[in-house]
Amino acid sequence: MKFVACMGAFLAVAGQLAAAPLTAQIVSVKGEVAVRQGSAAWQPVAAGRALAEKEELFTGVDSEANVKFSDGSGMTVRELTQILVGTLAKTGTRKDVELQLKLGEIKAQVQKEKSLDTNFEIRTATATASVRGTEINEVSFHPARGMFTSLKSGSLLVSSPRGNTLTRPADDARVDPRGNVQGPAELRRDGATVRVDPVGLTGRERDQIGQAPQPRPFTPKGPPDVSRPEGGGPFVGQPPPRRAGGP
Amino acid sequence: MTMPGHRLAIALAVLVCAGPALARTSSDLMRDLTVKSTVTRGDCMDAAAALVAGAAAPTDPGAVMRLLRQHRVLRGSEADQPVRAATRGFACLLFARALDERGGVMRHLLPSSEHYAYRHLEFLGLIPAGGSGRPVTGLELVSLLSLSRKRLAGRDSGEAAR
Repeated sequence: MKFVACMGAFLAVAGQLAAAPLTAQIVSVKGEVAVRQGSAAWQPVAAGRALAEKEELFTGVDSEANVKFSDGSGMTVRELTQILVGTLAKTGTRKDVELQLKLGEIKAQVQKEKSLDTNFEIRTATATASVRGTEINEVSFHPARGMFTSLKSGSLLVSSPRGNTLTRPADDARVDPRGNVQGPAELRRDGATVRVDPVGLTGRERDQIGQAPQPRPFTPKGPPDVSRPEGGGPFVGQPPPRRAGGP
Repeated sequence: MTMPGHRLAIALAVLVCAGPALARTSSDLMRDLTVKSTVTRGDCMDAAAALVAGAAAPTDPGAVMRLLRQHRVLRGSEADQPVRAATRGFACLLFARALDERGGVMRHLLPSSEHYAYRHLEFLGLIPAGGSGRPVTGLELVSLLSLSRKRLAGRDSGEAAR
């Protein structure tokens, strides 16, 4: 009998937890942060205010806001950033959070729950980042650069109409303003240094080049010699011979 | 001539109510800019002042111009016609000076050229490609301010335009 009562209580609590709505709350504010619903006027906010669906948040110059979700996820909205909370819902075994990053930069930590199918999406004008239990160093959007993501842990699917890429910890991805996706490998290749060696060397010659002291950069010593052209002096020498029949 | 008591009371009430509404900050100005499809030269000056002075930047047009002239961001007759629509070139000229960006050869030869200031900031990935003569939008201007502040703070490395 006791067992049945315990099971009943457990199921009731579990049911309530599953049905509990997902909420977001601004836990700390630095500088000037404002919120508005739809096309209403912007209202300055303080820590403790709840964020609802379809509400926009803007952080001013030298300002920052920390938002905490009821499932334990959190995000930091950096200065001069505008986001719109699109969806904030928890239905059955599914949790949906959709944020629209209109401008600026956010940092997020998404709590992954085994019993729930978590769908945390950050949308920008060019692409969407879908988070799968992740700590994100940075997701930013600027009209000049497009979307940029930098991941700390977990995995992140970055997709645009022109392609997609799945990033792993310590990976970066970029979607340019036209929607072209540059994955981690392409970004690493673009940022890599290229060493050019002479063609046709034997292995021994290549080793010798590697072991030889590197040439020092030219550094002039002492005051410039004004009697020489490189020191600023006049060009002294024989003029080129005139060709016969020339002017 | 003295003001009747009730008129004085009304005037005081208007001042008390309207005062806080008029006391706008640079963050308020930037927030309102994000929905504008075209910004004015005055808006560009406000954004440049926010870059120079941060959250404490003045919002009064006279004080903004004085601040920008003091920092040599605004020169000559550039402050004229503040309500005229601004081009990307004008915004870039102010920001290139505020950032103290030297740029390339042509920017050295023509330091007051809006076109070459734009070309340099476009190279740095601070403003979208498309031409210095195009009107700058509010979102582009706030983004330019955001990226410039990041650059001044030395945090602009990972996502630089490639």
